[in-house]
Amino acid sequence: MTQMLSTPWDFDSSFGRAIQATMEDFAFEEPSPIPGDYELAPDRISVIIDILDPEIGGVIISMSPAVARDLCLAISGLAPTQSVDDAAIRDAIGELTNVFSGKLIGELLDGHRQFKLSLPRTGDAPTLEGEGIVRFSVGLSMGVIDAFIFGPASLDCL
Amino acid sequence: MVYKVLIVDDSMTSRLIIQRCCQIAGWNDAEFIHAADGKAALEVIHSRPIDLILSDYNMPMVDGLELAETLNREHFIPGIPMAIITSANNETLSSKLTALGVVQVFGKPITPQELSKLLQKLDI
Repeated sequence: MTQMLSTPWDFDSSFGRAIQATMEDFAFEEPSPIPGDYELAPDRISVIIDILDPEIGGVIISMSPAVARDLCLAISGLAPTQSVDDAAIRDAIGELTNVFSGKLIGELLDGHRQFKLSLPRTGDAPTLEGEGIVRFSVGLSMGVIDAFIFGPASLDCL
Repeated sequence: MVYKVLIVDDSMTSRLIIQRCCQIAGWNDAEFIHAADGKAALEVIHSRPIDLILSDYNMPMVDGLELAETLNREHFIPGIPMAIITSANNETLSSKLTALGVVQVFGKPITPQELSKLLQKLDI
């Protein structure tokens, strides 16, 4: 995963609409497209959600521990000076990924068809390389997050 | 009267957001009871009076659909208003849940304005 370059995106794409709605409504952040031509550090926290029905792949949201902490504070409505533990951080970014995945798959399926997502799994950055994976880099006020869409869903998110 | 609101979600973050939305919508004095999945929610509902259920859909153990099916079978809903808040909102799921007596299905994240409208609609 560390070598993959980002794909350019805009707010007219399925990805752009889903990330904008998620960040503005859930984390009170204004996302922006940024070039992701940098290597991802190995200590990143990642959340994976599989799209179970229809089986069209899945979503990974990945970020540094510092960005994860700041996002947790923003989502929870806490001041930047307040402290949060690891469990709260993982829970918050897990829920962020869940909300984003729902909005993205809703976009891809036009909001009519029923779909099922797995529960979020939080852990270290998974190793993902090769075809069928698209990386998007998203700028936020506290730093950058990277989203990976894999499987058939990756073909339709632009 | 203190209204008792049962919030069901496996994410603690989500439960706290829903509670905060209820408070912003005007339910400052309500008692909020949290459950992390449908199984825990059923234990609460079987043991004490509840005025409103706000539940996630995708949860471990017993999900929101199974919870609604059980509560419908046991005649708890529509007597107790139940709303589902889900990231997987779509027309098919919404129709299925509404047929079971769920009063409304919301997409995540829910807003205080949406909850305020629900409370007005329910007149509670």
